[in-house]
Amino acid sequence: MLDAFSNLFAGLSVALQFQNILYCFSGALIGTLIGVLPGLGPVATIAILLPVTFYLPPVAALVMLAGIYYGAQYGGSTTAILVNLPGESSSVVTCLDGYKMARNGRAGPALSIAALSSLFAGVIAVVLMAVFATGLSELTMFFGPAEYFSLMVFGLIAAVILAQGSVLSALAMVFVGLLLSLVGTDVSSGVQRMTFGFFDLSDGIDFVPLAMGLFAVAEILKNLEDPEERVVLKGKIGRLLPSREEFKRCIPSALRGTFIGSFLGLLPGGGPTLGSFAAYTVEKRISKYPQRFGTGVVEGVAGPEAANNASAQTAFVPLLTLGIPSNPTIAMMAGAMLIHGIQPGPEVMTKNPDVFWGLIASMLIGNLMLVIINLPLIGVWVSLLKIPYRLFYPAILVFCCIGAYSVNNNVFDIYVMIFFGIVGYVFMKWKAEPAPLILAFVLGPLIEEHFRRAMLLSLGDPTTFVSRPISLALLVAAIGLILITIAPRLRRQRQDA
Amino acid sequence: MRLVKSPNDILLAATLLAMAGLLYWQVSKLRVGTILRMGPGYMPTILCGLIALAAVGIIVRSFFFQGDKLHSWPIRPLTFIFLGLLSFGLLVETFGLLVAMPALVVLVSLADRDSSKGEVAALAVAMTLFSAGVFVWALRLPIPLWTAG
Repeated sequence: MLDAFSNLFAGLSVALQFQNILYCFSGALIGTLIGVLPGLGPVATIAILLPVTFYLPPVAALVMLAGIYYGAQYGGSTTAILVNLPGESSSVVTCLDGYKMARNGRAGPALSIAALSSLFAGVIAVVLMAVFATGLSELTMFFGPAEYFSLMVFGLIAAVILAQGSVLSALAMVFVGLLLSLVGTDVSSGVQRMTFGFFDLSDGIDFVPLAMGLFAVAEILKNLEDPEERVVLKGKIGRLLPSREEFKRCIPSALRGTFIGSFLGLLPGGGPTLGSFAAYTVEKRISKYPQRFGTGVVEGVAGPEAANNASAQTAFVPLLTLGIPSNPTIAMMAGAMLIHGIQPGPEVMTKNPDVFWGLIASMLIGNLMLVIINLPLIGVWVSLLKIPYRLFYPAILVFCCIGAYSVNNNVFDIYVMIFFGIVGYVFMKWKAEPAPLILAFVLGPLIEEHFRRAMLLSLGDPTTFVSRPISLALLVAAIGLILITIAPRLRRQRQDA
Repeated sequence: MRLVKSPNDILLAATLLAMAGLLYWQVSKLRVGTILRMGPGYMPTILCGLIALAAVGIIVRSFFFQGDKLHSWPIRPLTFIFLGLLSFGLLVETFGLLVAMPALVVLVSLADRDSSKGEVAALAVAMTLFSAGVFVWALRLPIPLWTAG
C-alpha cells in the first residue's frame, strides 16, 4: 500500500516532465475532439495515430494515447447532453438525464456535473489503479499458462456477452478474429499459414489497418446509409455551476459510480460502456425517486459519468499487470506498447517502472487538463458539432489512408483496410459486431502460445484447465456468463411464440 | 408463414461457411500434429471447424427466431468509398501524395449525395495541403509527395 504511493510519486515526476505534459495535453485534446464528434471512436483514432507515435519515446506515446481514451469519455458526454446523441457508446446513458436537464434549461450544470464527476472519478481511479496493480502483480505468481489461457477465454466470452446482437454471431466473430490472427508465419515451425501466396501477408495481418477498416471505414459506410439527425440545442448554455443542492446530491452518486466503474474496468471484457450502464442502473435502483429518472435528475448524470471515466482508466490494469487487453481500445494500447518494444505483462512494472508509473500518474494531470479543456472551452466544441458529416468523413478517410500506409510504408496495408472495411460493414448489417473480432485478433497468438505451453507442461492432458483451481474458476465464470445471458432470452422468446 | 424467419442470418452463415472453407483449404496441407506436439495446422483447423459449427448454429436459429427482412445494399456509398480508397492505394506510390490525395477526397465525397462541387474542391485542396504540411513536412512520415519525372 505504502509502496504504491511512493511509486505513484515517482511516476508523477516522470509525468511532469515538460515533454510528457505536452503529449498528455495533446492526447486529452484529441480525445475530447473525437469524443464530441459522433462517428469516430477511440479505437479508430488510436489506430490512425499509432504510426505517428513511432517517433516518440514510449512514455510520451502511451501517455498521449491513454489521454485519447479517457479524454473521449469527457467529450462524449458533451454531445450526449447537448445533442441527445452519444458521442461515444459509453455516454449512451448520459443522454437519458443529461439531455433532459439541457432541455429544462440546465445545460450548463449538466455539463459541469459530468466533467466534475469525471474528474473526481479520475483522481480516485488513479489511486485505486496503483493499489490494484500492485496487488494483481503479486497474484501473477500463481498464473501459469493454463490460467492465462482460461483468463483470455473468460475475456473473450465477456466480450461476446457485451456485444449487441446474438451470442452465436458474436461467438463466430471471436473465432474469425482468432483465425485471422494466425495468418502469416507460424512462430514455432516457420511455416506460412493462410497467406494465399501473398508475400505481404507473411508477417501476418497488421492490426492497424484491420482496426481502421472495421472501426472507421465500416462505421462511415454505416453512417452514410442512415444519416443521423443532429439538432444542437438552441440558446445559451448559461451558468455552468450547479446549485449547492444539486452538488450535494451528486457527491454520493459520483462516489458510487467511481467504485462501480473502477471494478468493472478491471474485468476482462469490461470497460466504460459496461461501467456507465451499471452505474445508471444502480443509481435508479437505490434512489428515493426512481420514477423521476429520465426527466433530468443530476444523479443520472453524475453516476454514469464517474463510472465511464473510472473504468476507462482501470481497464489499463489487466493490460499492465497480466498483459491481457480487456476491450478493443486497450487492445490498441497493447499494440502501441509492442511497437515500442514493451511486452505488456507483469514485467512492465519491474522492467519499465517509468512507463508503468508514469502512465498511471499522467492520468492525474490529464484529468485536470480535461476539465479545463471541456468547461471553459465548451463553445468551441459545440461549434464543431455544426460541421456537416459530408465534410467530416472524407477527412477521417484521409487520416486512415495516411495511417495505414505509414505502418510499414506499404500500400498493401491500405488494401487490407479496404477489405476489412467492407467485410466489417457487411457483418455489421448482419448484426455481427466487430468488437469481439478485434479483441480475439489481438489475443489469438497469446491464446495459441499459452495453450501450447499448458499442453507441454501437462504432457498433453487437457484436464489441466479444470484441475487447476484458478483456471477452473475462470472457466466456470465464463460458462456462467453465457448461461445468464441465454436463459432470459430463451424464456422471452418462448413467451413471444 | 415463411420457413426461414431470418434470411439475413442465412447469408451471414453462408459467408462464414465460405470463409471457413477457403481458409481450411489453405491450411489443409499443414501438419496438424497432436495435442502435445501441436503442428502449425492444429489451431487453424480447430478454428475453421468452430466457425463452421457456429455457422450451422446460426442457420438452425434462423428457422426459429424472427429476424429482419432481407437487407438492401446502398450501392452509391459502397462504390465510391471503395473506389476512393483504392485509387489512393494505386496512386500514392506511382504519382505521389499530391495526386492521390485529391483523388481520394473527390471520389469518397461522391458517396454523399449532398456534396457540392465547390465544397469538395475546397476540401480536396485543404486536405492535400494539410497532409503534406503536417504528415510529410512536420512529422516526416516517408510518404512520396510527387514522384513524376
